[in-house]
Amino acid sequence: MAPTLCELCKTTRALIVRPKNHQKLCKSCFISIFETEIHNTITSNSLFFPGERVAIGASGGKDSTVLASVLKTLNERHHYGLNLILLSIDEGIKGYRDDSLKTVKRNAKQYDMPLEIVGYDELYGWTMDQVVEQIGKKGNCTYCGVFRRQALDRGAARLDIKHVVTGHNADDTAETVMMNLLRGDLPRLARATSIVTASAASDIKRSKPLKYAYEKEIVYYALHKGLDYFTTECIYSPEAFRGSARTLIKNLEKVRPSAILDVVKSGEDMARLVPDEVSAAGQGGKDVLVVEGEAYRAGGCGSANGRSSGGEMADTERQLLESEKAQGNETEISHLGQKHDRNCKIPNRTLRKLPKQQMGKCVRCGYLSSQDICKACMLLEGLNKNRPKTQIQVSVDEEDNSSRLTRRMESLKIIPAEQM
Amino acid sequence: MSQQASCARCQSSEAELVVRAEHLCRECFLKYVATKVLKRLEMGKIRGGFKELQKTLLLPVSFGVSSTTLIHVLDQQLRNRVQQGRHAGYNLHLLFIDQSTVIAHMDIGSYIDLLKQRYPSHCFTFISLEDCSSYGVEFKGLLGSNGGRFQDIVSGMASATSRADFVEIARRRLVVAFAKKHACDGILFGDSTTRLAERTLSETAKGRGIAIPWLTADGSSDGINCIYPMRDLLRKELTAYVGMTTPPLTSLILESSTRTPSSSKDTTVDGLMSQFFESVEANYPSIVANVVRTSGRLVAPSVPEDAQLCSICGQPVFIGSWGGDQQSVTSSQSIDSNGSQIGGARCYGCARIVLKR
Ligand SMILES: [Zn+2]
Ligand SMILES: [Zn+2]
Ligand SMILES: [Zn+2]
Repeated sequence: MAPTLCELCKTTRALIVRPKNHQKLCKSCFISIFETEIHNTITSNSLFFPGERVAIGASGGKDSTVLASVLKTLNERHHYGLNLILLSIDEGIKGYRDDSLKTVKRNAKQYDMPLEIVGYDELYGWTMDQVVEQIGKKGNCTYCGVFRRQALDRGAARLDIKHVVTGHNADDTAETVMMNLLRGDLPRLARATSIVTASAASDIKRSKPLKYAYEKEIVYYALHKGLDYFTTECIYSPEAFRGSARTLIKNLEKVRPSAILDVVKSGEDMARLVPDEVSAAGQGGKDVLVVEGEAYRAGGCGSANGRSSGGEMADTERQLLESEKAQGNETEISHLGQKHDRNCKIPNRTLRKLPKQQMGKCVRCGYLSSQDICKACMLLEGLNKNRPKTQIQVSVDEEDNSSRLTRRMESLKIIPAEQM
Repeated sequence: MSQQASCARCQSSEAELVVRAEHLCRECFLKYVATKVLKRLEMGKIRGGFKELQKTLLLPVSFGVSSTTLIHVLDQQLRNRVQQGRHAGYNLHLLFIDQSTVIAHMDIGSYIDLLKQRYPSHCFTFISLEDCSSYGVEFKGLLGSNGGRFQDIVSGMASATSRADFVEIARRRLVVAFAKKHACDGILFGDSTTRLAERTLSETAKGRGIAIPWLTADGSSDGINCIYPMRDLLRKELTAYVGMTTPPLTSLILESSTRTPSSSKDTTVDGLMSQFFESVEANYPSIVANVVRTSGRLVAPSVPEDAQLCSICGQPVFIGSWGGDQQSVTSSQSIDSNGSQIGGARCYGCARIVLKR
């Protein structure tokens, strides 16, 4: 039987069935089309400008390693003129992060990129190991996510960098779309699919050049390029859960390979269908909570890119039941299924619950926040309150603890006020 | 389980089931379902007023728990009004669309006879998907669409997902065309909360996110008033309902086929979503309702006057390149997003239907 030839070059034997569309390709055509597609994504969205300094959020995992490798390749091939830097977070998780950081350090040499590491301990006075020791494994991802978002921003600020790219792939985006539908989170649905997210909480731009790249193709790419990456999932992230949005996405992909991309397409289209007042409410307002919470979803775990644990379904159900109880059953009916040739803007419950608030600085750490105290400081307050005295060593009360954080924050280069 | 719990509403009868954390007796549960349906119908403002002519509402029948319950509740309302000598405000026209040429079905004849016997006062019509072209429902540019049989168009499609997607589209278009041809004032779709939630995620997965308001919300769609009176009832509640009426409606219910297909080749996106929501409904019923509430808040996109309509689903086509298509790459798979050279524009979702793999 004659070997199947590559559908693109039609000369070399096909070795890869492309997960995205089942096209049969040879190794070099696969690598080239994978890179070209990311190049297209970058150019059609004008993600970068020449001379820009860009930090790659690097966890040592496959997504960020492939991102670093591809960006290096494209930067040289297409003369983007970028100054690429690896930015890593050290959550302080023994046996997981210290090993993956070794990978990142090797990557820094392999790709000839500077590496900056920001540690939770230096920023917050807590490693994740210590957090878990105190609060247990349940819910620790929330802490990690909130801390992570600020940490990336602070790391970038320390380097005076205004643009951080992350390794979120098409599967992550599709999962987020489905999860936001299940959670009924329209403000987040409105921005989950955008390739660039300017956070209300910082002036640092985030973007996702791998947004249209399938996770499976990222793995193939890493494999065929022989990239050096770290495969262990975070030891504190909960077990994957059957019935989660992630499983749904994987099952859809099996039935129709294009489905992941189709969900992303739907998500982008639906973002335009979210009423302005809802998506706008999500920009300022109470939503720093959401914006910060986003870290919990997007990039919550360094390795897992914030994919859902499934515990989210149970959490959502509980929250919905609580709010139903609070609202009473009868009022609920009034905003279900509105007319759709609706020029009238029907006010609804959620909108009323999103008061416009001014963005200000957290009084403790100076990070942008709509609340007096930012989410990270709130979490820290809880942690510090319960910290066994012996561990604190210096006898400090709560006030001192928070001022200690303030000092830590100040020792970093904080975004100058006029830029906020 | 507390066995002697009394009904939370009437406080007198013994509770027979728990509905959204409330113990209800049989009578109160039947009332609960009917109230939810009628409230929705009222909100649709579709009934003729006191001095107006009777309106005719088309009710597509599938012999599932939801559309059967809908017929039953409305039939009861109409009977009550007649008994009280009151103006009913509307007539029902029941429509069954036969899909036996494309989807294996058990013999439907006996079900139809039963339905006519039980609800004799309503007009009933039986048509087939093969009648699409006689109602002007055409699928320009599809293989076999030139005077061919509907089943030939379907069998020309490459995947089970595409076939199922296309049959759903054709069914809806035929219902709408029938309603217009018979000058109906509105269509009462029998989709339950669970079904609408399934559809929301399923259309999302098929790249039809943009069309979700047109496919799930109450109001004018495809030029006719579409109402979903069952949108506040979960499938499991309706399954309970059909067993509790006197006599039960169970003999009218065609077993649904959400069971896992024997081969993965036969698995469809729609089927997967049914399975997914079966477990979501069992474990997290509030999430099901929440999905429907959420999709209900999406605002249908404004359509440019000169927008082309998709030659398959009939929805407007939004032209414009999309980053995910990677169109500047020469690829045998590149999607023909406007497809004008092969007979009519195609929306993103329908372009997927015609892909050869
Ligand atoms: Zn090749
Ligand atoms: Zn009762
Ligand atoms: Zn279409």
